[in-house]
Amino acid sequence: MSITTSPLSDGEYAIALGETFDFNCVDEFRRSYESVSASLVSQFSIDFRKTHFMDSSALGMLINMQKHWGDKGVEIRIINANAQVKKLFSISRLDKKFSIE
Amino acid sequence: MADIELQEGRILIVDDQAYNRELLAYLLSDYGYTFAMAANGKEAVEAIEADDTIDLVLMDVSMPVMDGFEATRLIKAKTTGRYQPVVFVTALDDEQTLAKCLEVGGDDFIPKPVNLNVLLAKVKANQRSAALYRQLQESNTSLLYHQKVMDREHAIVEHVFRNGMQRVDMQCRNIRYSITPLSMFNGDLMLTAPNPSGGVYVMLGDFTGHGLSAAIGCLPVSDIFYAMTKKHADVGDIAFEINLRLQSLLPSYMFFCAAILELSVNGDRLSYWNGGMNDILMIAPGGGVADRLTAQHMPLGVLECDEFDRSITTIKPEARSRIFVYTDGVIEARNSEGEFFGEERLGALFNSPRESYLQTVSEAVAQFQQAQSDDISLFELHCEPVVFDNPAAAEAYLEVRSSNVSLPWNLHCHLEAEELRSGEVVHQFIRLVANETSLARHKDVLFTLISELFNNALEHGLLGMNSADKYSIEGFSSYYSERLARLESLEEGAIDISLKLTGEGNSLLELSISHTGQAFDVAAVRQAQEQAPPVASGYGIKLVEGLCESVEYSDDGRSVTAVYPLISTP
Repeated sequence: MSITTSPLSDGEYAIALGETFDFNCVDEFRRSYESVSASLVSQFSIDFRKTHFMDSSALGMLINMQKHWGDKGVEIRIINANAQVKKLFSISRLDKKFSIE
Repeated sequence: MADIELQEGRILIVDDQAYNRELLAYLLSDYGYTFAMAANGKEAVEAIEADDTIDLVLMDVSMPVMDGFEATRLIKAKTTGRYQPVVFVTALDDEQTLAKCLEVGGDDFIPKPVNLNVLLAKVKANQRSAALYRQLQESNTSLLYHQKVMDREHAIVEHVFRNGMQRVDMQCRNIRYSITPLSMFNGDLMLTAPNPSGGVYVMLGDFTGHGLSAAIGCLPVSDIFYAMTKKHADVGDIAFEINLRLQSLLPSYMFFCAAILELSVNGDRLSYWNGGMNDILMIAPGGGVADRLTAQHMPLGVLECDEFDRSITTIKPEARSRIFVYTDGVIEARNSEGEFFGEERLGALFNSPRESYLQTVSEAVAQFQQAQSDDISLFELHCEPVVFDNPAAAEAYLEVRSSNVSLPWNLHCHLEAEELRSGEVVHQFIRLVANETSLARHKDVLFTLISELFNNALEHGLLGMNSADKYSIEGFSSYYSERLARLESLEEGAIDISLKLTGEGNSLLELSISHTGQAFDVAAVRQAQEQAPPVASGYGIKLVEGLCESVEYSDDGRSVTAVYPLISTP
């Protein structure tokens, strides 16, 4: 599996993505955050360290994640994104909706 | 001392009395010596100048034209750089004369009348001195030669080391450091590199020992460090690769203690892998050691690949914290009583708050120690947003090199239902063109562009799917399972992908995708997007338009051509 979820400290969970984050990951990505118990999590860090290939469905997946957790007061952070990935966030204006490190 | 093999030599006999010259020659003739004769000091000097095979001079004192003193002074002056023994043969035995003999450079005396045993013993002794002197001089010449060879080799190695370890011409303002090697070559190694998400990597390590033998491992380590940091590897993976190389490279008694750290662009997240280094100190913004990040791992170069633990620790340091990392040389510095500087003395230096503790620590250690006995390295990492002094250099360093010189080309794929069903079209296409040098660094953009346009053609044109189904969370998932199902049973239709390098200097990439399926009303889709509330769908065309210079649809939306500039506009 290319997506892994692991607990960090203080209610923070890291979701590490693989090299490609596209529609093929829809179910796997959804499971990666739905499997975490709401009582345990206060923040997700989605780790783009390895991610080079991304399409618009990736943005869709992130929006769905935010819908799932947003009203539960869980923060979602995008970490380790390279310049190209950041550019996709800014073109789609989703850099306003997510905290991108 | 080894016995010196005496060469039978050539002796210059200087005396104004022919009888005396002949007597000396006669006495020595049985011992294989050959002779040159001089009747006064002047002749003696001329003989020495003319004949450099003379090993020894037997010199009378009182002579006409030039006496023995003056002759000796001149001979000694003319033979600096080699040892030319001059032995006075004199009947004068007053202290003044003897003192004068020494003063002008004479090496010995033989009293007149000459006794054969004394004469032989003194000649041999002086010959032996001359031989020793020659040998010493040869050794010196040879040593000087080797010293020169070594200096030159050191200069070459130093050059290689400098270039091998300083790949990035950039300074990160968050990092301050001090490095004091014990000798010319450093067994401590500190490297820094920018990371592709704007943060910074820094590594400090300490090879067993010091000097060149310890420093030799620095080259492979820095190669791996730079290659891995460019790839945005996490610090555990960097450690893994370094371990793998050192394990096969180093002798078993040598290893590499190292801490590898990565600070995020905002300076609020720190990942580290610490193998065998001293505790990394976290200094609170108001001073004082707030935490000790103890080594979780063995040094590098010890464990086999399958035993190696690449797990890292990630912490969130308080803003304006300082992270302090140092090698053994700091705490193992000794004073004149043989006491170590120690962790306690070090810890106490952080008690009063400072902007930087680097100088305080360096000075305290320098003052404490009697003589440096190991390489001393330390750095301080400021947990603040990461700033580079020359960000352009950091960016240029990270950029994948791609040549702008390329032949114009055109790649066309015609894909029938059978190929489309394989489901791997976009990745295969990227693999096909990624080796084209001018595209190497645009691989990721190309993936996004082809994905969007190809998936639109496939999903809406050939599979007849409706994006509106994606608007809910459940709809989003079922949309993609439906896509899979429809694709598996796709029987007809085709998609053409064509990629063309064009424009002045081949600076434009033209991507065209067309399909044989349903028409696509671009205007309607755009309008729907403008009105729709934020949903999980509809970013595709926006992304393509944002990345490209132009995007044009034709043939009722069945065909689209996007032009992407390969040379980025500032």
